[in-house]
Amino acid sequence: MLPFSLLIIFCAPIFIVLSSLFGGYSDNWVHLYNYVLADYVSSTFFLISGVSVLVFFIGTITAWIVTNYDFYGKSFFEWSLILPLSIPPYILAYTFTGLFDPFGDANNLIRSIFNLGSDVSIFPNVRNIYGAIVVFSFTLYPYVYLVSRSAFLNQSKSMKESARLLGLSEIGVFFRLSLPIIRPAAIGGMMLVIMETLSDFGAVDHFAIQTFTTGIFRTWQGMYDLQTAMQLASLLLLVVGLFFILERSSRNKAAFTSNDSSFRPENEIRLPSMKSFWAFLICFIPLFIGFILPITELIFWAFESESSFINKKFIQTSFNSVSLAIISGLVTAFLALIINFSIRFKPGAIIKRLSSLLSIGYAVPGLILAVGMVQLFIYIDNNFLDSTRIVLTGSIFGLLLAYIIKTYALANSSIESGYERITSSMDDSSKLLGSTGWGMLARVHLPLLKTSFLTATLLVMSEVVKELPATLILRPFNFETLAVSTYIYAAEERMFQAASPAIAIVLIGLIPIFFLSKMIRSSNKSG
Amino acid sequence: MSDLILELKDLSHSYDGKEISLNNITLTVNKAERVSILGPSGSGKSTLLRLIAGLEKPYSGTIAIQGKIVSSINQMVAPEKRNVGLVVQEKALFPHLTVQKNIGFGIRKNQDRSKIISDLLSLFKIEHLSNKYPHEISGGEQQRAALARSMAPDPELLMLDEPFSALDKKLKEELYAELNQIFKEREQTIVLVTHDLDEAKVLSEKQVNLENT
Repeated sequence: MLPFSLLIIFCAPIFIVLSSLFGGYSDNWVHLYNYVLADYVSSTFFLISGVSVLVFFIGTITAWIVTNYDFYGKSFFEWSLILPLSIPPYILAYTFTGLFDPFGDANNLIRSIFNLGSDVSIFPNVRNIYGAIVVFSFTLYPYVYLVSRSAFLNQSKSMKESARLLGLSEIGVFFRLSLPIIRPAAIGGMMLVIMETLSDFGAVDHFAIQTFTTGIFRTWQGMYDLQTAMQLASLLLLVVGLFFILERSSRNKAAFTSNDSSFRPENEIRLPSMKSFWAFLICFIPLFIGFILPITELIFWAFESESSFINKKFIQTSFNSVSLAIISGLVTAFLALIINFSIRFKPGAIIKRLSSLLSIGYAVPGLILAVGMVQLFIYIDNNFLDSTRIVLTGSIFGLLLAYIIKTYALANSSIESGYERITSSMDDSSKLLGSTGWGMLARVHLPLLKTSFLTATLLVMSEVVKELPATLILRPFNFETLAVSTYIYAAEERMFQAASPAIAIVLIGLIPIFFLSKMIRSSNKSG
Repeated sequence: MSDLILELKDLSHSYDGKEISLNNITLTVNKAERVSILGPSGSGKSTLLRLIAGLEKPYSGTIAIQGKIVSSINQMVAPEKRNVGLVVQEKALFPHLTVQKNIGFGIRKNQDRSKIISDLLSLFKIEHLSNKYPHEISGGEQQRAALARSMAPDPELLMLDEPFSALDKKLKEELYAELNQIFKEREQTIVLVTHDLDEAKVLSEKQVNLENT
């Protein structure tokens, strides 16, 4: 019953958005259709194409180098290459413009070193779609890196040796053998990157690029036309749905790339000093652009800020963000635990299907979720609650519900993989020894799932703290979180003030990354 | 009280309601009797133990423990209320609990809990492992701990599902001698599933081939 009720709640905003396609079309829609929709489609398509190509190259090449070669800094790069995941694209976008605008810090530094005039600008303009491609690629490539690394690690030594005996060079082995084999896994990672790119609002808004998300936001907040915004959102949802299906099918095809997770490849090839330098550089560049550069700029801004780094407002917004994150993290992890526990004892195709459908929220852009939820809450407020005032619309409850829908998939995957390690013999033993039902959950499953539960909570927390568009729309009046505060400061070009909330977001985002990198390090030792 | 501990009558089982995995099994086991179930892979040996433990429902027939019907088409007594123990081949020890806590898992409300645990630790010669976790001890030691855990609630019937197949020959032979002594001393009723005829002969007085029942 619980999975079914949750499914109704989780899918309601999506159905509401999609149902707008069958409603009336206003003049605003006609205007959008005639003048800007083609721009939205072409710029969105160009953006995701550019990002896909770049993340594919960065992710697979770095993964290939760290799994196959021994070079200076290899063990450091193995885990540190995932650090950019802690930087939301919109924060990298803010630091990029802060650095590379004509009067940005990077241009100022070069001018002062070489004593150049103020009309000289060294770096190209980044406030365009090319800048956005770089921003998304260097924050999101770890999705491709992680799956590719795991797939490369599972490739057998004898297979590569046979290829070398058949005349392939080292590079040939990469392009003609290893890369085609891991392609389904890497494409799965790429689909996640595309979904994240399509969902973004903060970065494209900062670069003033006309995409679906900026269009939806402007139609709603600028033209005050929720119906047309929902119709635009439906189109974006259909595109996201297509990539969601592609991601799922790549995941199925990727099965053959990971036949044995404990398998270690051949001894890594020790690179001579010059090649070692190139390997170092190839791995360092994505880490530098995606993590070191923005962190350095944020710290620089924090020191330059006239107001205190930790002021009253910062403490309040941090408290708001962290409380929301903790509540959503615990509730979502607990829901995932209960659902997986139910599935274990009532195995059946329907309940399993229902449970996997609950994960759909992850693919839905936060902005679309927010649009659907606002419409749903307005309907409930007007028809079932006090119609003279708003109760659910703009409430903390609504915000929490959106976070839970959006992040359920993260919690579920962590709990699900934890459950895979609890054997059915343990359940049988527990039953025969008198612990059944909730007793088994409390005495056997929960202690064994401690780490999975903690990971699920932390993953949700990190996503909640970063989430911008849903928070921006669904938050109660005058209620600010770290993400909203960063966005507002950046929109007002008050970058120094934006530093403290941005740094806090990155620090919180680093917590699950720290655990993930610890796992990567320990998998290396055990291998 | 009757000496009859287990009685299976015309017992059949099917996982999907179409293909029969066990067909018309009839068997009796008396108090302190040790019976081995032999048979080729896929003959339903493990399924039979899971049916007796109440972890599977019968397709037809009945299972009675101490004269009381515990499984039939219309009736199922919960596994924890049957007073049976089951030790399987795969590692079923709870990895988050020490050996001592694993053994005490099923007797937490028993006032003599500490004594039972220490007696079993000594009986199975694993006192020195009491505070170790399952991953810190060997396969043979894990099986001793699993046997001790299943015997802690003093089950009327102890079922062993190929519990030694993952152990080496020398270790098995050591265990056989010790277990024979323990089972005899405690008058423990045993149903052992194995594919190894020698093991069946050493550990039980009666051997039943599932194909011939």
